[in-house]
Amino acid sequence: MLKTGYKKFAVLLVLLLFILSAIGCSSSNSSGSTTAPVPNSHKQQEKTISSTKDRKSDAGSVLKVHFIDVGQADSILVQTPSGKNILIDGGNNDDADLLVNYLKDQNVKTLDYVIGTHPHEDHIGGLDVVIEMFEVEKVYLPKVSHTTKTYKDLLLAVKDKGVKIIPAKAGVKPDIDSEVKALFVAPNGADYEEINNYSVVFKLTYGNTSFLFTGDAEALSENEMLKSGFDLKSDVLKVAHHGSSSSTTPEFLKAVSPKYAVISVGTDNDYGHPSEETLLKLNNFKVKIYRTDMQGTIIATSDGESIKFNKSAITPKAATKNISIIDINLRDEVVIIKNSSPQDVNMTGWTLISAKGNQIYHFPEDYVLKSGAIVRIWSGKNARNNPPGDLFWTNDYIWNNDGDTGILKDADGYIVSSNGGN
Amino acid sequence: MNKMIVDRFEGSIVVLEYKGKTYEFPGELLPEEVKEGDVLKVSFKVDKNATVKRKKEIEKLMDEVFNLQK
Repeated sequence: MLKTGYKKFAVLLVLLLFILSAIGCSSSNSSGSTTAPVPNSHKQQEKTISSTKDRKSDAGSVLKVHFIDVGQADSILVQTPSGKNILIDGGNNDDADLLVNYLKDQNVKTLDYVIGTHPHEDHIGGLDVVIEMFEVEKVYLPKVSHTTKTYKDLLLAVKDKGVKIIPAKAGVKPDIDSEVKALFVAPNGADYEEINNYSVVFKLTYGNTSFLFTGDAEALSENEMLKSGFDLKSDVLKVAHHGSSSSTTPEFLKAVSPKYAVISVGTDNDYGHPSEETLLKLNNFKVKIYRTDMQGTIIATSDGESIKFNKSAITPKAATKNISIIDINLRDEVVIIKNSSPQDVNMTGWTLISAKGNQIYHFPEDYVLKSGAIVRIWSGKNARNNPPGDLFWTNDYIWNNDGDTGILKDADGYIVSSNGGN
Repeated sequence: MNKMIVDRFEGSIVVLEYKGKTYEFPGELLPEEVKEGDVLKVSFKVDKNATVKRKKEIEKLMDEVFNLQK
């Protein structure tokens, strides 16, 4: 509690400093970026010539970003219009085979860049095997050690390959090619308590489109990025730390102002990822959400002007749009929900969630909220039970009187409505 | 051999690595000073008294719930 309060204060302070510094000086972070293509090895040139046709027909002049479904972990393959392959993270240890097969299916022979955002097992687990199995040009890792076998295996795989690891930190601009620009915007420091904050955060720009890959960067790193003055604005945000509530501050989200968010997360994971809080924030910012746990591998394709996805964004069904939490009385422990749509709605499978504490109410089987009707969901000592107008949740106290948010979700888990209560 | 390495914390859960595989563990069972990257010496001990007590408790409950008449 204390920590959260402090964090909020810190966020505000950092934001203030950021605004002041932004007013005080004009943008100053563009230092002659390198654009000349670096000649590859002889072998690589041959390969490029022989496979140009394949690569071109595969990619055309588009940038393809694969958010590979590796469960509760991250792995992202970026294929540039010129045929360069960038792998950001490598899933869990157990994902190695899946990953190798996926890359082979995409005709990947050479990984031009391998980026391990930070040395946790759910990010670097499969990288050792991938590095063994493919040609690898450059490897970027943040300069932080970890004692696990998983990390040692990665270091040994890189060593066996005869490649030297390039330390990744804010300001580094990997020279991808003339069309695709890359910039690391984190880590901004070199001494963190939590390994997550060493996460390499990576902005990729192709034409007028941009992507931000965040690893597991937490609020602390987000604040540093805000302070650093980098242009964080990106069309697609890979939501940090699988949607954990310890990342994705409103200030950071505002600076990035993404149109699309991708959450790489495992079904029914034990960590409560993604957090309702984060989903709600994205919802409030009107960001279109894609999730690997619900939709499998997500592929975003950019032609430099616009971005298309292989799946539809997760949005409430049209019929449920007019159902809303019109009031939450935190003291009296009652939530009022109204159906303003012209149709009756069967709420089987629907849930009402208290964001603080993450308590979940399941609507009764075959409960129908009639068009124009309201329903009250009661909790606390005086909870009523008189369906269909008054539904009983529990005699426990659910709503935090100091502020809480109610979230209403339909049977597919989509957020239909939320309310901050009073 | 009986070493586990702390890979990471995920809220109240700690992810421990043993022989290159990861296992989830309740964080509250670890000493408070444990950090990411720490190598833990792991040993378990059978609590014989607690086992006997627990067995009695469960068997008493079974006697209540099972139909002994057949």
